[in-house]
Amino acid sequence: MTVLQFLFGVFATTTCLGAIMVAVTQNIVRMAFWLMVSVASASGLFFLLHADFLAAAQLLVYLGGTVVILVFGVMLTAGGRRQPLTPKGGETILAVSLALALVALLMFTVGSVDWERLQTASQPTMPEGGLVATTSDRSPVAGAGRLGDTGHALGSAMIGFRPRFDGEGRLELGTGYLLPFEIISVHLLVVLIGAAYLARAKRQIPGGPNVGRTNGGSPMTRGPLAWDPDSAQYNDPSAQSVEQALAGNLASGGGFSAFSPEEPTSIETRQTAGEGRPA
Amino acid sequence: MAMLATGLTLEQFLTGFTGEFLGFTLAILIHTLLVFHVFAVSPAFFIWLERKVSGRIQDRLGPTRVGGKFGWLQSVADGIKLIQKEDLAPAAADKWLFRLAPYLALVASFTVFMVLPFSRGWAAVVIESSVFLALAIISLEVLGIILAGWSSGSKWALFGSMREAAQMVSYEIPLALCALIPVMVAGSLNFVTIAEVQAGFFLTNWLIFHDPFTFIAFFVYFTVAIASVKRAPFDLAEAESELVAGFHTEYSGMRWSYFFLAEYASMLAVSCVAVLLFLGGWWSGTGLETLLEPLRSWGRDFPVQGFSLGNYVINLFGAHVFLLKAGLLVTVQIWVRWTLPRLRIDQVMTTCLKYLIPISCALFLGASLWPLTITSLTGRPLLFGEPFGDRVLRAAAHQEGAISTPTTPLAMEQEAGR
Repeated sequence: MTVLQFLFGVFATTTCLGAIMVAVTQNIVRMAFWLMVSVASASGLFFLLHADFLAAAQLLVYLGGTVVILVFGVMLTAGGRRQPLTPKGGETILAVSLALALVALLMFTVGSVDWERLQTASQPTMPEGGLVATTSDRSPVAGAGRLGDTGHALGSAMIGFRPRFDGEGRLELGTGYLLPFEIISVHLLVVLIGAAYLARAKRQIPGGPNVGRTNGGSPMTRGPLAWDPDSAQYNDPSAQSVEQALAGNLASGGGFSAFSPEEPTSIETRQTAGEGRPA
Repeated sequence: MAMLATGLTLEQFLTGFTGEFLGFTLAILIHTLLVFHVFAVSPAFFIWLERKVSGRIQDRLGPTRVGGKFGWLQSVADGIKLIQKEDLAPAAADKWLFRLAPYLALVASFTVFMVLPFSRGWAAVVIESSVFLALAIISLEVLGIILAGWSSGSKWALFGSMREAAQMVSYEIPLALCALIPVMVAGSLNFVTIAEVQAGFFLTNWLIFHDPFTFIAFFVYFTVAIASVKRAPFDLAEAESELVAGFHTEYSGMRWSYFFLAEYASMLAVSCVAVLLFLGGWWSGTGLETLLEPLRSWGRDFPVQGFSLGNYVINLFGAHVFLLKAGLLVTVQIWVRWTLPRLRIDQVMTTCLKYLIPISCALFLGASLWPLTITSLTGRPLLFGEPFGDRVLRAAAHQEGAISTPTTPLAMEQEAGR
């Protein structure tokens, strides 16, 4: 067993273990943790394949982005922390059929690839003097570029510079991905603006911008406080002011304040709104 | 895993003696120990420095007793005290995640040092996308914080970690945009290349002085970096005046200190990234290295390429310059903490979303238009210094003989093990 095979074994095991634990675990935040394990190990697998840009993107986008958003969602939506997530009968059938469909799709895809031919094609014979821009190309600075310089290759492919050699050793340039990439970016921007608009609309309560926040009363700001039923202060009516302050803090701590309709200009206004905490 | 990116690596050297598996493991251990040394010792130093600097700023003396005149053993005394403390977990906590969370934060801040080059050829891992990877890892520390806050079963901790999550998610954007500006100027995502093109006199060659946009971008980056390591005035996650102690309210003893180890190591990490991207990396900026260049060939390369005596001495000097610059930036962070009052959370979010993101977008646009404008006005793509193509070529030429692409399957697999 070589080092490569050993490391592949380690990362593949943790990827699968994390994925299985996501499905098995009942607690939603622990699920998020196991998802992190799975996603990070998948990024390790990409590193082993010299796809360093893809691996870093996996860390940044999936681990750093999605999981943070997931934890966000968990905290803002979870009704009770110790409430187990047991699927009902219909959900079980649906989930199992979906999983089986996915497995069938994956098996079909894996089976339809001609692995033998792929293995021989991965060592292309370059015509001498030809333009070479493969992923194993070196960077001009000594010590800077090694195997796995996928950043340059990806960037070139993005703008349509994808030189490769076809079966007869002729150079051909592929098509670029700039237009699809830009279309996806604009889509994401639309989603972002839509999300900002929705988040803003929820704060605009008819009786004026500040009324809705007076009692910490909108369901969105109020919901998360119910997460710990053991908390005496929350249920205690005498702790009303504490609760208001907490609601205000959470509303601003949730990161939505940038979209709030009113400017946080005067401390007096905020204090009457029940959430002002002068620094 | 290559201590030296060129020629024979430490791993290849060890593999020749002990066989593949053992050589690989030994190389990993040596690299990890060296990087861990920086990671573990620097927080101890910076915690002591923070005590001294805060003392001086507040017209006090700071630690004076432990270890002689300047109290320089204070951090060791702190460490001994913290080890002795009882390791508590509250009854309401999710104990498994509660115990795990400090390690997540610690690992995330430690891993950044893996991709940082400390001098020419002195990096644990050299990959092309190292800037991107470093930014990705810097943003992962928040995961440990969120899990810590949630699993504590305390509302103060939850509020603190929610604030940290909101803050980190928004400050990631200007951080990445500002780091992208020197990347775009140098034309590489690789720390080694970006540092190599800044060799020479600092006013002409450091990327901070390349154009007005990179100059402003450095200060924006530094502001955002302070926020991303949750230091005052952006330390809302542990705002003592309102949240008891924020996300680490329920922690004690060593697990508590892991969060602080991670925080101080992250301060150094973002400062190292700033030095590599803007402040000339390991180059002193005086042209001294150019004078000493003949010394590099002095002595023979043993055991690995580039480890001749002359080369080693110059690289050691470079590493000291690098850590000195990064240490100065950390000192500025400490100075800022004890000078400025803490912002309110809505002010923190406003600063980021309404000011820093538009500013960094404008800087990015300006920096991308700058070469076009300056070329059409003066006929050169940059104001001072050599063009970047020449610098890259010169950096490539200095180790012409040292380039060796791994060709054997064995070497390829070691490459894979990096």
